[in-house]
Amino acid sequence: MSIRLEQVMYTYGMGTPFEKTALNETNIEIHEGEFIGIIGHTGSGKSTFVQLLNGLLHPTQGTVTVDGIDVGLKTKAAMDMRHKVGMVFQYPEYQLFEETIARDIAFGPRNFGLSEAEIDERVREAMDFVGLDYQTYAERSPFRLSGGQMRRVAIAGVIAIHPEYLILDEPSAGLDPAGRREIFSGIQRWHEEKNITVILVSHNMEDISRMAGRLIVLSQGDIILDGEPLDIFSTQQETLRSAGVAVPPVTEVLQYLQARGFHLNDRVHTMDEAISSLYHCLRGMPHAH
Amino acid sequence: MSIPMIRLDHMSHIYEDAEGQEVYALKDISLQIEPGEFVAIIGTNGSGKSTLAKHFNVLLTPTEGTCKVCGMRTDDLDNLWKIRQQVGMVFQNPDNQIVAAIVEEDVAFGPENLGVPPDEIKHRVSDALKRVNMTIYAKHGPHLLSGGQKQRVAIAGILAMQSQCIVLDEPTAMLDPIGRREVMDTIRQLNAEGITVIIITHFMEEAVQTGRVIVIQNGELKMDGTPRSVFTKVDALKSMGLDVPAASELAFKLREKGIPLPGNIITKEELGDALCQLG
Repeated sequence: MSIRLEQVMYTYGMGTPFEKTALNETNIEIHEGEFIGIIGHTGSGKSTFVQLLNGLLHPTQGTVTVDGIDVGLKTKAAMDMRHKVGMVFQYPEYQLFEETIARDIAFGPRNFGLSEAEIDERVREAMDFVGLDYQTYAERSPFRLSGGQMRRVAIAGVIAIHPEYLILDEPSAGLDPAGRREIFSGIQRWHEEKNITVILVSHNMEDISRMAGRLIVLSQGDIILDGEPLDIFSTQQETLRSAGVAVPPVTEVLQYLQARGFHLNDRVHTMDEAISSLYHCLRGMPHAH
Repeated sequence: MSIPMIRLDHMSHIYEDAEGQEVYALKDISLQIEPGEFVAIIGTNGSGKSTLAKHFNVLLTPTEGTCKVCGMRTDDLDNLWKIRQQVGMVFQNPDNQIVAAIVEEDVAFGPENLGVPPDEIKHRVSDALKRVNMTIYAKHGPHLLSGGQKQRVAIAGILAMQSQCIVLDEPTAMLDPIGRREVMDTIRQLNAEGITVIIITHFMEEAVQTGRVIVIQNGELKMDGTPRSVFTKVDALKSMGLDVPAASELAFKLREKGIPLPGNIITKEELGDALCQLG
Protein backbone atom coordinates (compact mmCIF):
# COMPACT_ATOMS: atom_id res chain seq x y z
CA MET A 1 0.00 0.00 0.00
CA SER A 2 1.62 3.24 -1.08
CA ILE A 3 1.49 6.29 -3.28
CA ARG A 4 4.03 6.05 -6.09
CA LEU A 5 5.18 8.73 -8.47
CA GLU A 6 6.99 7.32 -11.50
CA GLN A 7 8.81 9.72 -13.80
CA VAL A 8 6.24 12.33 -12.93
CA MET A 9 6.63 15.81 -14.32
CA TYR A 10 4.19 18.72 -14.27
CA THR A 11 4.17 21.76 -16.50
CA TYR A 12 1.64 24.57 -16.20
CA GLY A 13 0.33 26.28 -19.34
CA MET A 14 1.81 23.74 -21.78
CA GLY A 15 2.15 25.30 -25.22
CA THR A 16 1.43 28.85 -24.05
CA PRO A 17 3.88 31.73 -23.50
CA PHE A 18 3.38 31.14 -19.75
CA GLU A 19 4.63 27.55 -19.87
CA LYS A 20 6.37 26.75 -16.61
CA THR A 21 7.56 23.43 -15.26
CA ALA A 22 6.60 23.31 -11.58
CA LEU A 23 7.83 19.79 -10.91
CA ASN A 24 10.77 18.22 -12.71
CA GLU A 25 10.92 14.48 -13.32
CA THR A 26 10.28 12.90 -9.95
CA ASN A 27 10.32 9.31 -8.69
CA ILE A 28 9.21 8.74 -5.15
CA GLU A 29 7.23 6.33 -3.04
CA ILE A 30 5.19 7.25 0.02
CA HIS A 31 4.56 4.21 2.18
CA GLU A 32 1.46 3.41 4.13
CA GLY A 33 1.69 4.66 7.70
CA GLU A 34 4.41 7.24 7.12
CA PHE A 35 4.25 10.76 8.55
CA ILE A 36 5.95 12.95 5.99
CA GLY A 37 6.83 16.60 6.22
CA ILE A 38 7.19 18.58 3.01
CA ILE A 39 8.99 21.91 3.03
CA GLY A 40 10.18 24.38 0.43
CA HIS A 41 9.81 28.08 -0.21
CA THR A 42 6.96 29.62 -2.20
CA GLY A 43 7.18 28.41 -5.80
CA SER A 44 9.32 25.37 -4.96
CA GLY A 45 6.67 23.03 -6.36
CA LYS A 46 5.31 21.63 -3.11
CA SER A 47 1.66 22.55 -3.74
CA THR A 48 1.92 21.04 -7.23
CA PHE A 49 3.45 17.92 -5.71
CA VAL A 50 0.65 17.34 -3.21
CA GLN A 51 -2.08 18.08 -5.75
CA LEU A 52 -0.64 15.34 -7.97
CA LEU A 53 -0.97 12.86 -5.11
CA ASN A 54 -4.74 12.84 -5.13
CA GLY A 55 -5.45 13.41 -8.80
CA LEU A 56 -6.34 17.09 -8.58
CA LEU A 57 -3.61 17.63 -11.12
CA HIS A 58 -2.73 15.06 -13.75
CA PRO A 59 0.96 14.71 -14.53
CA THR A 60 2.20 16.10 -17.85
CA GLN A 61 4.38 13.03 -17.95
CA GLY A 62 4.57 9.83 -15.88
CA THR A 63 2.05 8.15 -13.57
CA VAL A 64 0.79 8.52 -10.03
CA THR A 65 -0.56 5.34 -8.46
CA VAL A 66 -2.36 5.03 -5.14
CA ASP A 67 -2.40 1.46 -3.81
CA GLY A 68 -1.51 0.30 -7.30
CA ILE A 69 -4.26 2.16 -9.13
CA ASP A 70 -3.47 4.94 -11.58
CA VAL A 71 -5.36 7.97 -10.22
CA GLY A 72 -5.29 9.59 -13.65
CA LEU A 73 -7.74 7.06 -15.09
CA LYS A 74 -11.46 7.75 -15.30
CA THR A 75 -12.43 4.29 -14.04
CA LYS A 76 -14.60 3.74 -10.97
CA ALA A 77 -11.66 2.23 -9.12
CA ALA A 78 -9.64 5.39 -9.72
CA MET A 79 -12.50 7.63 -8.58
CA ASP A 80 -12.95 5.55 -5.42
CA MET A 81 -9.26 5.75 -4.78
CA ARG A 82 -9.38 9.52 -4.78
CA HIS A 83 -11.82 9.34 -1.89
CA LYS A 84 -9.12 7.62 0.14
CA VAL A 85 -6.85 10.63 -0.20
CA GLY A 86 -8.21 13.50 1.86
CA MET A 87 -6.81 16.94 1.32
CA VAL A 88 -6.97 19.97 3.56
CA PHE A 89 -6.08 22.97 1.44
CA GLN A 90 -4.46 26.20 2.42
CA TYR A 91 -7.07 28.61 3.79
CA PRO A 92 -9.59 25.77 4.26
CA GLU A 93 -11.91 28.15 6.08
CA TYR A 94 -12.85 29.64 2.70
CA GLN A 95 -14.39 26.32 1.74
CA LEU A 96 -17.07 26.43 4.42
CA PHE A 97 -20.52 27.01 3.01
CA GLU A 98 -23.27 25.44 5.11
CA GLU A 99 -25.61 27.12 7.58
CA THR A 100 -24.49 25.11 10.57
CA ILE A 101 -21.19 23.61 11.56
CA ALA A 102 -22.66 20.11 11.81
CA ARG A 103 -24.10 20.30 8.30
CA ASP A 104 -20.86 21.56 6.87
CA ILE A 105 -18.93 18.65 8.34
CA ALA A 106 -21.68 16.23 7.22
CA PHE A 107 -21.34 17.23 3.55
CA GLY A 108 -18.66 14.66 2.67
CA PRO A 109 -20.17 11.65 4.45
CA ARG A 110 -23.62 12.52 3.07
CA ASN A 111 -22.24 12.48 -0.47
CA PHE A 112 -20.94 9.00 0.18
CA GLY A 113 -24.48 7.86 0.87
CA LEU A 114 -24.11 7.07 4.56
CA SER A 115 -27.21 6.78 6.76
CA GLU A 116 -28.22 9.74 8.95
CA ALA A 117 -27.10 7.84 12.07
CA GLU A 118 -23.70 7.13 10.54
CA ILE A 119 -23.39 10.73 9.39
CA ASP A 120 -24.19 12.01 12.86
CA GLU A 121 -21.58 9.69 14.34
CA ARG A 122 -18.96 10.90 11.84
CA VAL A 123 -19.77 14.54 12.63
CA ARG A 124 -19.42 14.01 16.38
CA GLU A 125 -16.21 12.09 15.93
CA ALA A 126 -14.73 14.74 13.64
CA MET A 127 -15.70 17.60 15.98
CA ASP A 128 -14.14 15.76 18.88
CA PHE A 129 -11.05 15.24 16.72
CA VAL A 130 -10.50 18.96 16.26
CA GLY A 131 -11.54 19.89 19.78
CA LEU A 132 -14.90 21.55 19.05
CA ASP A 133 -17.56 20.72 21.60
CA TYR A 134 -20.59 19.22 19.84
CA GLN A 135 -23.19 20.63 22.24
CA THR A 136 -21.82 24.14 21.96
CA TYR A 137 -21.00 24.34 18.28
CA ALA A 138 -22.99 21.86 16.19
CA GLU A 139 -25.89 24.20 15.42
CA ARG A 140 -23.89 27.43 15.16
CA SER A 141 -23.06 29.14 11.92
CA PRO A 142 -19.48 28.42 10.83
CA PHE A 143 -19.20 32.03 9.68
CA ARG A 144 -19.41 33.47 13.18
CA LEU A 145 -16.29 31.71 14.39
CA SER A 146 -12.77 33.05 14.71
CA GLY A 147 -10.30 32.17 11.95
CA GLY A 148 -8.72 29.39 13.98
CA GLN A 149 -12.05 27.82 14.82
CA MET A 150 -13.17 27.98 11.18
CA ARG A 151 -9.97 26.16 10.29
CA ARG A 152 -10.91 23.39 12.69
CA VAL A 153 -14.37 23.01 11.16
CA ALA A 154 -12.80 22.71 7.71
CA ILE A 155 -10.36 20.05 8.90
CA ALA A 156 -13.20 18.19 10.60
CA GLY A 157 -15.00 18.09 7.25
CA VAL A 158 -12.11 16.17 5.71
CA ILE A 159 -11.62 13.92 8.73
CA ALA A 160 -15.30 12.95 8.52
CA ILE A 161 -14.70 11.13 5.22
CA HIS A 162 -12.16 8.86 6.94
CA PRO A 163 -9.27 9.27 4.49
CA GLU A 164 -6.50 6.67 4.47
CA TYR A 165 -4.04 9.25 3.23
CA LEU A 166 -4.35 12.69 4.72
CA ILE A 167 -2.67 15.61 2.99
CA LEU A 168 -2.52 18.88 4.91
CA ASP A 169 -1.30 22.02 3.18
CA GLU A 170 -0.23 24.50 5.88
CA PRO A 171 -2.96 23.50 8.34
CA SER A 172 -1.54 25.45 11.27
CA ALA A 173 -0.91 28.83 9.62
CA GLY A 174 -2.47 31.52 11.77
CA LEU A 175 -3.24 29.22 14.69
CA ASP A 176 -2.01 29.85 18.21
CA PRO A 177 0.16 27.21 19.94
CA ALA A 178 -2.82 25.70 21.74
CA GLY A 179 -4.82 25.50 18.51
CA ARG A 180 -1.89 23.90 16.72
CA ARG A 181 -1.43 21.34 19.43
CA GLU A 182 -5.14 20.53 19.40
CA ILE A 183 -5.25 19.92 15.67
CA PHE A 184 -2.02 17.99 15.55
CA SER A 185 -2.69 15.83 18.59
CA GLY A 186 -5.78 14.52 16.82
CA ILE A 187 -3.85 13.94 13.61
CA GLN A 188 -1.03 12.19 15.45
CA ARG A 189 -3.50 9.99 17.30
CA TRP A 190 -5.13 8.92 14.03
CA HIS A 191 -1.77 8.35 12.47
CA GLU A 192 -0.75 6.06 15.33
CA GLU A 193 -4.02 4.26 16.01
CA LYS A 194 -5.33 3.84 12.49
CA ASN A 195 -2.03 3.83 10.62
CA ILE A 196 -3.20 6.76 8.49
CA THR A 197 -0.52 8.14 6.20
CA VAL A 198 -0.02 11.85 6.84
CA ILE A 199 1.59 14.25 4.42
CA LEU A 200 2.12 17.64 6.02
CA VAL A 201 3.17 20.69 4.04
CA SER A 202 4.33 23.33 6.46
CA HIS A 203 6.60 26.27 7.09
CA ASN A 204 6.51 25.42 10.77
CA MET A 205 9.70 23.45 11.28
CA GLU A 206 8.92 22.89 14.93
CA ASP A 207 5.79 20.93 13.98
CA ILE A 208 7.75 18.96 11.39
CA SER A 209 10.61 18.02 13.69
CA ARG A 210 8.18 17.01 16.43
CA MET A 211 5.99 14.78 14.29
CA ALA A 212 7.38 13.77 10.91
CA GLY A 213 9.42 10.61 10.46
CA ARG A 214 10.52 11.63 6.99
CA LEU A 215 11.23 15.01 5.50
CA ILE A 216 11.11 15.94 1.83
CA VAL A 217 12.64 19.28 0.79
CA LEU A 218 11.64 20.78 -2.54
CA SER A 219 13.47 23.53 -4.36
CA GLN A 220 12.79 24.83 -7.86
CA GLY A 221 10.74 21.79 -8.80
CA ASP A 222 13.18 19.16 -7.55
CA ILE A 223 13.25 17.01 -4.46
CA ILE A 224 16.65 18.05 -3.15
CA LEU A 225 16.57 16.25 0.20
CA ASP A 226 14.61 13.21 1.39
CA GLY A 227 15.44 11.70 4.75
CA GLU A 228 15.08 11.71 8.50
CA PRO A 229 14.20 15.25 9.69
CA LEU A 230 16.80 15.45 12.45
CA ASP A 231 19.51 14.21 10.10
CA ILE A 232 18.58 16.90 7.62
CA PHE A 233 18.28 19.70 10.20
CA SER A 234 21.59 18.69 11.75
CA THR A 235 23.74 18.11 8.67
CA GLN A 236 22.19 20.01 5.76
CA GLN A 237 22.00 23.56 7.10
CA GLU A 238 23.65 25.07 4.04
CA THR A 239 21.41 23.24 1.57
CA LEU A 240 18.36 24.24 3.60
CA ARG A 241 19.39 27.87 3.69
CA SER A 242 20.00 28.00 -0.05
CA ALA A 243 16.58 26.38 -0.58
CA GLY A 244 15.06 29.23 1.43
CA VAL A 245 13.88 27.19 4.39
CA ALA A 246 14.90 27.31 8.02
CA VAL A 247 15.63 24.87 10.83
CA PRO A 248 13.25 24.84 13.85
CA PRO A 249 13.74 27.87 16.18
CA VAL A 250 15.07 25.76 19.04
CA THR A 251 17.50 23.95 16.72
CA GLU A 252 18.67 27.34 15.50
CA VAL A 253 19.50 28.38 19.08
CA LEU A 254 21.36 25.11 19.70
CA GLN A 255 23.32 25.42 16.46
CA TYR A 256 24.19 29.01 17.35
CA LEU A 257 25.53 27.79 20.70
CA GLN A 258 27.49 25.04 18.93
CA ALA A 259 29.07 27.70 16.76
CA ARG A 260 30.09 29.50 19.95
CA GLY A 261 31.95 26.41 21.11
CA PHE A 262 29.43 24.47 23.15
CA HIS A 263 29.62 20.76 22.45
CA LEU A 264 25.99 19.81 22.48
CA ASN A 265 23.62 17.59 20.57
CA ASP A 266 21.40 19.56 18.17
CA ARG A 267 19.36 16.51 17.13
CA VAL A 268 16.29 17.29 19.20
CA HIS A 269 12.59 16.82 18.41
CA THR A 270 11.20 19.09 21.10
CA MET A 271 11.96 21.88 23.54
CA ASP A 272 12.26 19.33 26.36
CA GLU A 273 14.93 17.42 24.47
CA ALA A 274 16.74 20.69 23.76
CA ILE A 275 16.74 21.57 27.45
CA SER A 276 18.18 18.22 28.45
CA SER A 277 20.76 18.42 25.66
CA LEU A 278 21.90 21.82 26.87
CA TYR A 279 21.69 20.80 30.53
CA HIS A 280 23.91 17.78 29.99
CA CYS A 281 26.37 19.84 28.00
CA LEU A 282 26.65 22.32 30.91
CA ARG A 283 26.87 19.59 33.54
CA GLY A 284 29.63 17.93 31.58
CA MET A 285 31.89 20.96 31.66
CA PRO A 286 31.74 22.61 35.10
CA HIS A 287 34.71 24.89 34.50
CA ALA A 288 34.30 25.54 30.81
CA HIS A 289 33.94 29.05 29.42
CA MET B 1 3.22 66.65 24.25
CA SER B 2 2.32 65.23 20.89
CA ILE B 3 -1.10 63.77 20.26
CA PRO B 4 -1.15 60.00 20.78
CA MET B 5 -1.43 57.93 17.59
CA ILE B 6 -4.03 55.77 19.27
CA ARG B 7 -5.74 56.20 22.60
CA LEU B 8 -8.32 53.86 24.10
CA ASP B 9 -10.25 54.83 27.20
CA HIS B 10 -12.16 52.05 28.95
CA MET B 11 -13.06 50.67 25.56
CA SER B 12 -15.27 47.60 25.25
CA HIS B 13 -16.69 45.85 22.24
CA ILE B 14 -19.81 43.81 22.81
CA TYR B 15 -21.58 41.59 20.32
CA GLU B 16 -24.60 39.35 20.54
CA ASP B 17 -23.96 35.65 20.13
CA ALA B 18 -26.33 33.19 18.40
CA GLU B 19 -28.50 32.91 21.53
CA GLY B 20 -28.83 36.67 21.87
CA GLN B 21 -26.43 36.78 24.82
CA GLU B 22 -24.13 39.78 25.12
CA VAL B 23 -20.49 38.78 24.83
CA TYR B 24 -17.52 41.02 25.53
CA ALA B 25 -15.06 40.60 22.67
CA LEU B 26 -13.01 43.35 24.34
CA LYS B 27 -13.47 44.50 27.89
CA ASP B 28 -12.48 47.80 29.43
CA ILE B 29 -9.27 48.38 27.56
CA SER B 30 -7.28 51.54 28.15
CA LEU B 31 -4.01 52.10 26.38
CA GLN B 32 -2.07 54.66 24.44
CA ILE B 33 0.24 54.20 21.48
CA GLU B 34 2.55 57.10 20.65
CA PRO B 35 3.63 58.15 17.14
CA GLY B 36 6.67 56.16 16.02
CA GLU B 37 6.11 53.17 18.31
CA PHE B 38 6.61 49.57 17.12
CA VAL B 39 4.05 47.42 18.93
CA ALA B 40 3.26 43.70 18.80
CA ILE B 41 -0.13 42.40 19.90
CA ILE B 42 -0.19 38.75 20.87
CA GLY B 43 -2.93 36.46 22.16
CA THR B 44 -4.58 33.15 21.37
CA ASN B 45 -7.14 32.68 18.57
CA GLY B 46 -10.37 34.27 19.70
CA SER B 47 -8.63 36.41 22.35
CA GLY B 48 -9.87 39.61 20.73
CA LYS B 49 -6.60 40.85 19.23
CA SER B 50 -7.96 41.19 15.68
CA THR B 51 -11.09 42.84 17.05
CA LEU B 52 -8.83 45.32 18.83
CA ALA B 53 -6.86 46.07 15.67
CA LYS B 54 -10.04 46.61 13.67
CA HIS B 55 -10.90 49.53 15.96
CA PHE B 56 -7.73 51.32 14.92
CA ASN B 57 -8.99 52.09 11.43
CA VAL B 58 -12.70 52.08 12.19
CA LEU B 59 -13.61 48.70 10.76
CA LEU B 60 -15.27 48.44 14.18
CA THR B 61 -16.32 51.09 16.68
CA PRO B 62 -16.44 50.77 20.48
CA THR B 63 -19.66 49.68 22.20
CA GLU B 64 -18.47 51.35 25.41
CA GLY B 65 -15.67 53.82 26.05
CA THR B 66 -13.76 55.61 23.32
CA CYS B 67 -11.13 55.00 20.70
CA LYS B 68 -9.25 58.01 19.35
CA VAL B 69 -6.86 58.01 16.43
CA CYS B 70 -4.64 61.11 16.16
CA GLY B 71 -7.04 62.70 18.64
CA MET B 72 -10.11 61.96 16.48
CA ARG B 73 -12.91 59.86 17.94
CA THR B 74 -13.61 56.81 15.77
CA ASP B 75 -17.34 56.87 16.55
CA ASP B 76 -17.73 60.26 14.88
CA LEU B 77 -18.61 59.51 11.27
CA ASP B 78 -17.11 62.82 10.11
CA ASN B 79 -13.67 61.49 11.07
CA LEU B 80 -13.98 58.19 9.22
CA TRP B 81 -11.99 59.00 6.08
CA LYS B 82 -9.45 61.15 7.87
CA ILE B 83 -8.70 58.24 10.20
CA ARG B 84 -8.60 55.64 7.45
CA GLN B 85 -6.09 57.81 5.63
CA GLN B 86 -3.89 57.88 8.73
CA VAL B 87 -4.11 54.18 9.57
CA GLY B 88 -3.71 51.49 6.91
CA MET B 89 -4.29 47.79 7.41
CA VAL B 90 -2.52 44.73 6.00
CA PHE B 91 -4.28 41.40 6.39
CA GLN B 92 -3.14 37.81 6.65
CA ASN B 93 -3.96 36.54 3.20
CA PRO B 94 -1.77 38.24 0.58
CA ASP B 95 -4.16 37.27 -2.21
CA ASN B 96 -7.16 39.05 -0.75
CA GLN B 97 -5.95 42.62 -0.80
CA ILE B 98 -4.61 43.28 -4.25
CA VAL B 99 -7.11 44.91 -6.59
CA ALA B 100 -5.27 45.91 -9.76
CA ALA B 101 -3.63 43.92 -12.57
CA ILE B 102 -0.29 45.74 -12.34
CA VAL B 103 1.69 46.38 -9.17
CA GLU B 104 2.05 50.14 -9.61
CA GLU B 105 -1.66 50.54 -10.34
CA ASP B 106 -2.45 48.66 -7.17
CA VAL B 107 -0.26 50.98 -5.15
CA ALA B 108 -1.90 53.99 -6.88
CA PHE B 109 -5.41 52.83 -5.96
CA GLY B 110 -5.52 54.63 -2.61
CA PRO B 111 -4.23 58.04 -3.67
CA GLU B 112 -6.40 57.94 -6.82
CA ASN B 113 -9.45 57.60 -4.62
CA LEU B 114 -8.30 60.53 -2.54
CA GLY B 115 -8.24 62.67 -5.70
CA VAL B 116 -4.49 63.23 -5.62
CA PRO B 117 -3.24 64.83 -8.91
CA PRO B 118 -1.67 62.33 -11.37
CA ASP B 119 1.87 63.72 -11.16
CA GLU B 120 1.78 63.54 -7.39
CA ILE B 121 0.44 59.95 -7.57
CA LYS B 122 3.33 58.92 -9.80
CA HIS B 123 5.77 60.39 -7.37
CA ARG B 124 4.13 58.74 -4.37
CA VAL B 125 3.91 55.32 -6.05
CA SER B 126 7.54 55.25 -7.05
CA ASP B 127 8.58 56.44 -3.60
CA ALA B 128 6.39 53.82 -1.89
CA LEU B 129 7.68 50.97 -4.06
CA LYS B 130 11.23 52.06 -3.38
CA ARG B 131 10.68 52.05 0.37
CA VAL B 132 9.42 48.43 0.33
CA ASN B 133 12.18 47.45 -2.12
CA MET B 134 9.77 46.50 -4.91
CA THR B 135 10.69 49.07 -7.56
CA ILE B 136 11.78 46.48 -10.12
CA TYR B 137 8.34 44.84 -9.90
CA ALA B 138 6.40 48.04 -10.66
CA LYS B 139 5.13 46.79 -14.02
CA HIS B 140 4.59 43.16 -12.97
CA GLY B 141 1.30 41.35 -12.57
CA PRO B 142 0.71 40.77 -8.84
CA HIS B 143 -0.21 37.11 -9.41
CA LEU B 144 3.40 36.39 -10.34
CA LEU B 145 4.72 37.67 -7.03
CA SER B 146 5.56 35.60 -3.95
CA GLY B 147 3.52 36.02 -0.76
CA GLY B 148 6.17 38.22 0.84
CA GLN B 149 6.28 40.43 -2.24
CA LYS B 150 2.48 40.75 -2.30
CA GLN B 151 2.48 41.82 1.34
CA ARG B 152 5.10 44.45 0.55
CA VAL B 153 2.92 45.73 -2.29
CA ALA B 154 0.05 46.01 0.20
CA ILE B 155 2.34 47.99 2.52
CA ALA B 156 3.37 50.24 -0.39
CA GLY B 157 -0.31 50.98 -1.01
CA ILE B 158 -0.55 52.31 2.53
CA LEU B 159 2.62 54.38 2.18
CA ALA B 160 1.20 55.93 -1.00
CA MET B 161 -1.71 57.16 1.13
CA GLN B 162 0.90 58.86 3.33
CA SER B 163 -0.55 57.08 6.34
CA GLN B 164 1.27 57.58 9.61
CA CYS B 165 0.39 54.18 11.04
CA ILE B 166 0.36 50.64 9.64
CA VAL B 167 -1.59 47.89 11.37
CA LEU B 168 -0.69 44.37 10.21
CA ASP B 169 -2.95 41.47 11.20
CA GLU B 170 -0.75 38.35 11.06
CA PRO B 171 0.93 39.50 7.84
CA THR B 172 3.41 36.60 7.81
CA ALA B 173 1.15 33.70 8.79
CA MET B 174 0.91 32.43 5.23
CA LEU B 175 4.51 33.14 4.23
CA ASP B 176 7.64 31.01 3.98
CA PRO B 177 10.74 31.96 6.02
CA ILE B 178 12.11 34.19 3.25
CA GLY B 179 8.83 36.05 2.86
CA ARG B 180 8.56 36.44 6.61
CA ARG B 181 12.01 37.99 6.82
CA GLU B 182 11.27 40.33 3.88
CA VAL B 183 8.13 41.63 5.57
CA MET B 184 9.77 42.03 8.98
CA ASP B 185 12.80 43.80 7.48
CA THR B 186 10.48 46.14 5.59
CA ILE B 187 8.35 47.12 8.56
CA ARG B 188 11.38 47.52 10.83
CA GLN B 189 12.85 49.88 8.26
CA LEU B 190 9.60 51.86 7.96
CA ASN B 191 9.39 52.14 11.73
CA ALA B 192 12.95 53.48 11.76
CA GLU B 193 11.71 56.13 9.28
CA GLY B 194 9.06 57.17 11.81
CA ILE B 195 5.97 55.18 10.82
CA THR B 196 3.97 53.77 13.73
CA VAL B 197 3.77 49.99 13.29
CA ILE B 198 1.34 47.68 15.08
CA ILE B 199 1.70 44.00 14.27
CA ILE B 200 -0.50 41.12 15.39
CA THR B 201 1.49 37.91 15.30
CA HIS B 202 1.73 34.35 16.54
CA PHE B 203 5.47 34.30 15.94
CA MET B 204 7.25 35.26 19.11
CA GLU B 205 10.52 35.62 17.18
CA GLU B 206 8.79 38.55 15.43
CA ALA B 207 7.31 40.06 18.58
CA VAL B 208 10.80 40.13 20.11
CA GLN B 209 11.90 42.55 17.38
CA THR B 210 9.40 45.22 18.42
CA GLY B 211 9.63 47.85 21.13
CA ARG B 212 6.48 46.92 23.03
CA VAL B 213 4.38 43.81 23.44
CA ILE B 214 0.69 43.85 24.35
CA VAL B 215 -0.92 40.60 25.48
CA ILE B 216 -4.68 40.17 25.07
CA GLN B 217 -6.53 37.28 26.66
CA ASN B 218 -10.31 36.75 26.74
CA GLY B 219 -10.81 40.30 25.53
CA GLU B 220 -8.78 41.81 28.36
CA LEU B 221 -5.40 43.48 28.36
CA LYS B 222 -3.15 41.17 30.41
CA MET B 223 0.36 42.49 29.85
CA ASP B 224 1.88 45.58 28.27
CA GLY B 225 5.60 46.19 28.29
CA THR B 226 8.93 45.75 26.58
CA PRO B 227 9.59 42.38 24.90
CA ARG B 228 12.04 41.68 27.70
CA SER B 229 9.55 42.32 30.49
CA VAL B 230 6.86 40.25 28.76
CA PHE B 231 8.85 37.31 27.42
CA THR B 232 10.67 36.62 30.66
CA LYS B 233 7.28 35.80 32.22
CA VAL B 234 7.46 32.35 30.67
CA ASP B 235 5.04 30.63 33.05
CA ALA B 236 2.36 33.30 32.76
CA LEU B 237 2.47 33.26 28.95
CA LYS B 238 2.46 29.46 28.80
CA SER B 239 -0.55 29.30 31.08
CA MET B 240 -2.38 31.62 28.68
CA GLY B 241 -1.63 29.14 25.89
CA LEU B 242 1.04 31.30 24.28
CA ASP B 243 4.57 30.51 23.19
CA VAL B 244 7.73 32.37 24.12
CA PRO B 245 10.88 32.74 22.00
CA ALA B 246 12.99 29.58 22.05
CA ALA B 247 15.92 31.30 23.81
CA SER B 248 13.63 32.64 26.59
CA GLU B 249 12.19 29.22 27.22
CA LEU B 250 15.57 27.48 27.22
CA ALA B 251 16.97 30.00 29.72
CA PHE B 252 13.88 29.77 31.92
CA LYS B 253 13.92 25.96 32.04
CA LEU B 254 17.66 25.83 32.71
CA ARG B 255 17.19 28.21 35.62
CA GLU B 256 14.48 25.90 36.96
CA LYS B 257 17.03 23.11 36.81
CA GLY B 258 19.45 25.12 38.88
CA ILE B 259 21.72 26.62 36.21
CA PRO B 260 22.47 30.17 37.46
CA LEU B 261 21.40 32.22 34.45
CA PRO B 262 20.08 35.78 34.60
CA GLY B 263 16.30 36.08 34.35
CA ASN B 264 16.22 38.56 31.49
CA ILE B 265 17.33 36.45 28.50
CA ILE B 266 15.17 36.63 25.35
CA THR B 267 17.57 36.13 22.42
CA LYS B 268 20.03 33.42 21.42
CA GLU B 269 22.89 35.91 21.58
CA GLU B 270 22.06 36.79 25.18
CA LEU B 271 21.78 33.11 26.04
CA GLY B 272 25.17 32.46 24.45
CA ASP B 273 26.76 35.35 26.36
CA ALA B 274 25.27 34.23 29.66
CA LEU B 275 26.34 30.62 29.17
CA CYS B 276 29.88 31.72 28.36
CA GLN B 277 30.05 33.57 31.67
CA LEU B 278 29.10 30.50 33.71
CA GLY B 279 31.63 28.62 35.80
